Amino acid sequence: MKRKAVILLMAVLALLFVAPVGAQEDSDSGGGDVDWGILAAAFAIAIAAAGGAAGQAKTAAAAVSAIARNPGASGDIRLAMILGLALIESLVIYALLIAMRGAAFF
Amino acid sequence: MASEAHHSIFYEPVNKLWHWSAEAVGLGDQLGEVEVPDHVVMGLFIIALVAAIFIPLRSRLSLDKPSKLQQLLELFVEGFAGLMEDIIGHGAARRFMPMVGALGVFIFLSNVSGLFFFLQPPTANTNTTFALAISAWVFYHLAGVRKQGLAYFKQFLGPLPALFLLFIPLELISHFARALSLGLRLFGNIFGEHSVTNVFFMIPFIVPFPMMALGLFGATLQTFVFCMLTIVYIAGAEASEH
Repeated sequence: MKRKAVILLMAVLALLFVAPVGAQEDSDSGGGDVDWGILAAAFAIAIAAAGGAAGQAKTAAAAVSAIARNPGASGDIRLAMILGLALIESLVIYALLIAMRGAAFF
Repeated sequence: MASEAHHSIFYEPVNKLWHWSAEAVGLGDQLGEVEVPDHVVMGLFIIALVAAIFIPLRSRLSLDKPSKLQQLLELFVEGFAGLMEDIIGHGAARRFMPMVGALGVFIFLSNVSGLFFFLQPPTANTNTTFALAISAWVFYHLAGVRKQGLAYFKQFLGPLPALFLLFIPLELISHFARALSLGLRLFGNIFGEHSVTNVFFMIPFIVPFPMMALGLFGATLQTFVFCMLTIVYIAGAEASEH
């Protein structure tokens, strides 16, 4: 319940931050010098990083508690954790590549 | 960005040699505009480096008094061999260590060469990473065919042979996704770290070092993940008794 309240609060704050962008656009001449590429790239990588971080947090937490329960298997658990972290991170990297394309990095 | 114009120190000499030999053979008009790209040059350099390190080492392998390099390499060989025995099965290390070891050594040295100012990482280019990914992909299919013969392709029909029309595209897409993800993962990680390190280098002295440390960590991790995934795919190809 508290987490839902926090998420709702953050969504409201995010909307508040987006409002000045509208003001910016009105003051430009001729319909906008807004660089939509970089704006889209920022949102893309922010959402991807959030999702990736949540997944990796779960992985690391599960690995740590498994090692705590069974220290003898810590080698195998560490291996599985590293593999899982790298696979989740690769999804974030795919989003990063598209974001770099949108921000005209390459 | 900055990394586009910056070439390794081997780019100029190799291209001069290339143009000279094109002229000498008489194909100067047709090959005049063709430049040997930097990632090819760096790839060749890494092959030469590996040959220069490993070939003399082979003749000096010793059971009683191993050199430090031999001890270090024995650590890695034992590590990977243990992994392969665990995941693929008994006797797998002997059969697959050459391929996995070659991939590991090449990828590791390629990634680490991004940390040197006079070198460029060849894996920061999609050509190199997809070449490696396609090699690993073809290899694990060949390993499966060698183990199971042509019955290997029956796994594409899925668990229920009656549903093969549904399962064939599914399996094909998942296998192609493996090759794509292997290549893209390596490329994205190394290219991203290289670009960020380039940006950080604009502020001199201490600031680039955390990014370079992250680069070194990422280089090792990506090598390990690539080799690990290849091993897992080989195990999947060899086993596949659903």
